[in-house]
Amino acid sequence: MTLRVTRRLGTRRLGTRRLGTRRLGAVVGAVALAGSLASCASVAGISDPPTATVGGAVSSSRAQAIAAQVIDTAEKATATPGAEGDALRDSAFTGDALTAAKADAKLAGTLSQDQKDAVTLTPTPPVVLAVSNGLSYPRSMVVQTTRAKSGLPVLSLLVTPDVRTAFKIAASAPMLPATEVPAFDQVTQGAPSLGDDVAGLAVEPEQLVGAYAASLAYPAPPAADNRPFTDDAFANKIKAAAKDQADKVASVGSFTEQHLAKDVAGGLRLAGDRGALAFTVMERKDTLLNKASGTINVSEPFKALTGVSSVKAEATLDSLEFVVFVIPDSGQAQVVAAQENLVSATGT
Amino acid sequence: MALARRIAVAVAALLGLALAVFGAWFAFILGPKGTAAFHATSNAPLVLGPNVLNRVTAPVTVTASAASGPVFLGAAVPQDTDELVGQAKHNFVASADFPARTLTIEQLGSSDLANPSDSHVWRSTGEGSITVTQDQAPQSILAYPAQGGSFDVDVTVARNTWFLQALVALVVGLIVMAFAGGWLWQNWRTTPEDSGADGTPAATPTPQPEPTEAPERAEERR
Repeated sequence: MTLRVTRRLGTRRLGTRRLGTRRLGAVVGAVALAGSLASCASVAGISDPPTATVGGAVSSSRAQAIAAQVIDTAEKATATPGAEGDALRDSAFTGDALTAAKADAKLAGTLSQDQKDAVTLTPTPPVVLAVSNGLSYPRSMVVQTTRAKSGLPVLSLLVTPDVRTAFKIAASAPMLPATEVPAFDQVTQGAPSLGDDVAGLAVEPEQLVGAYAASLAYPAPPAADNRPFTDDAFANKIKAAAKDQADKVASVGSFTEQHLAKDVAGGLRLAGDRGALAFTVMERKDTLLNKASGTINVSEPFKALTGVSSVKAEATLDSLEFVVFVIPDSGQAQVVAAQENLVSATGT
Repeated sequence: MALARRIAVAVAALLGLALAVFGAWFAFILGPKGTAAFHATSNAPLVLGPNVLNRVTAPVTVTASAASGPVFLGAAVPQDTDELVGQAKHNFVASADFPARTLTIEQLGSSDLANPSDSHVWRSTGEGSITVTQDQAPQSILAYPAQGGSFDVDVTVARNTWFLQALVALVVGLIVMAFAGGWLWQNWRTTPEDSGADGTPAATPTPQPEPTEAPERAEERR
């Protein structure tokens, strides 16, 4: 009892300062306890879900799986004739690429084994170079495969127009020698799509492909100063082939070649806002006029498409040309990949 | 004043008790790995949105099983999942309730949902089980039984911190309860010092110890 009294006396002798400290501690403790209980959710690490999605429209691993699936289906379609092959082509290609794939199927019988081997891809899984970011449609990805025989990389643009449609190949072309594609942003980050906004590009894709198509005309392309593109191997090959064809028929007729811009299939912006990779499509029309009295023998592909083995008056061949440009933020664009596909022909 | 202090200490003791019970209960439910599990049975394709999947910074695993056959599970951004499902008949998880450990399900739509397993919107897919991480939040998961019918869905999220927090709550609660209870026990029979009706301390005389002298001094006086 004495001890208890003594303790009380001792407490009182501490004065108001210690008593105030104790009260303050009690208040702080109570507030902390109440605060802890009130903010139980945040203490437990529970928060509202984020609302904004960042990065690529599809994950890196999923993009890889999709690309592998689409490329595999396209490979099977190439090797499969008939209705079964058409079904595969419908599920692997879209737009002008589907038109070209169907034409290739018709022409498959005219190809030699070397020609078939030349377009065969390595079994290595495709490499996804870039995936469009954001949630809006259409979404796209750029995929690289490799041709087994030549080792040439092939660039393909895969697109999906809406949530219910799978990714399909909209354009595809082998890269040209001594060209390269600058880096994209990481797949996980995603790359901006080449949409209607052409800000930051040295030239609009539509204008570029229009000027490029005009420059390939044979025999007389229109004069043009300040071309927005550099010379490239594909243009040189097209021009040389046209001249060669014209020389062959010079004694019996004439040969002309016209190229028209058809579409910009899509593309993605390069990393660091340094331009874009644009997949474009051109239409090419070759016209052969027979000015002699005899007939002109035609090629095997022409026969396969028309059923005509010779022409008396005129032959036309329509091709699709897939041309891939690197459009910088300033300066001239460069063709880095290109391919032509004969799709139809007529003859009289 | 002493009465108010006793009341405050008693409240603290009760809060400590509540905290200890709360901590012990959660530690028991969550287990050493801090695993919270929720269950539901769905009679239609089920959408689990970010309100369930993206609330904590920990991976979330969804498992589904049906008597009719395998259950496809696909994770995608919520907008894609919503658009893919559209007006087709499906259920969605409105909330995950804890500690009931159930998923509250609501129904939408009327038409049949086509098999979505081949869609390219999925960021990841699984059959019977799928785990989503938080680095690509927000995400939704669609559970689709290939053969139709009802199926069971379990959502589990493991967060070690929860178990540790439950233990901390248990220990802190016990400490608070022990100190407060001890103080109350010691002061239980003591008369409250407050006697004024207005709450002011009464003017009680301070007990003074009786004066004593050292034995040597007393001896000297003699």
